[in-house]
Amino acid sequence: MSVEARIDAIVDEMRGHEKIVVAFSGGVDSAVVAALAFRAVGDRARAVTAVSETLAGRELDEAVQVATEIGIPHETLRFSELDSPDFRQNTTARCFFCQSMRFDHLQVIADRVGASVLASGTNADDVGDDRPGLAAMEARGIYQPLLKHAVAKSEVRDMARALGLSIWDKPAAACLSSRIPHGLEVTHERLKRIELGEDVLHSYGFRHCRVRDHDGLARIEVAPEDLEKVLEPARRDAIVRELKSAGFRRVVVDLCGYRAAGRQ
Amino acid sequence: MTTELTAQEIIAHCASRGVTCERAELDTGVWVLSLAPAPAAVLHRLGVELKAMGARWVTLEVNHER
Repeated sequence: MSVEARIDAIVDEMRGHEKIVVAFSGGVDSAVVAALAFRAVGDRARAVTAVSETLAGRELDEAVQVATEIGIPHETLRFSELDSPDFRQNTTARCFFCQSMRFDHLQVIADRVGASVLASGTNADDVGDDRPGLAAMEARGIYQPLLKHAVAKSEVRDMARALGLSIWDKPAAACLSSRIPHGLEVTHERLKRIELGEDVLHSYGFRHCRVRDHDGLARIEVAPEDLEKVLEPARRDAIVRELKSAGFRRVVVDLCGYRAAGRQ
Repeated sequence: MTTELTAQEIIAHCASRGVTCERAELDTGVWVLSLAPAPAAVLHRLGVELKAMGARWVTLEVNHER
């Protein structure tokens, strides 16, 4: 099926809903769902970004920008995953607790505006991974059009490009708590220094990167092809200095590097 | 199934690849290596090999003045 045919099929299906609220992180997946919903029902679609400590500030800025680009009405809601002891404990079920809270908050807005569905950007590739957050969505009957139509991540990017979205090739960001190994508590302090640390790497031009927090040890992951760049002495020293200023006690570079899901 | 390596095994493996590893230590579950300068591609290959041998996270110390 062509990209255009997939777009038409999902838009046709969405036209069956009076109002749609889209859980909107500003990533490629939710941006495509938001664009399709806007195409289907116009201003009766609404994108809502759940803002919490696990969403980097730069991601919120991009979400606002992308919603403007799409033209869809956009609003934010604020909540804190850190209110949940189950979330802070950071077990392998962390995403279940996070997504439960997130979608319960989003549902309040969906109810307020009279939306018949609350949609997410889950795609077909997400299902194969171990993602307890999906169970939280399924338990709440969240509408997942990309998953329903078996759209894989690479096809989501094709759709984004066809829809004219500038972020069609944006790297996956994921929640900041994913940088903390399971078993180590998720705290505001850790999330903040991770965000600052990744801001530093972005400022040096690294697109595919992570700063993992091992109790104050910053484990930098960059794409293998960027390893030489991050180890260049002047740049390396500056990065170490800036990450220590952000609150890390030690800075190391992962030799295996970062490889995002779906990248070759 | 892999088993956790020892510092001596890591240092020996680095040497077998022509890279001098002055020190290998575990810090909060992360192997931190002090390595003599080597091309990035060699370092990456070392990391991949050591991971396959059982070291979950293999890193290069980039701050010798901590």
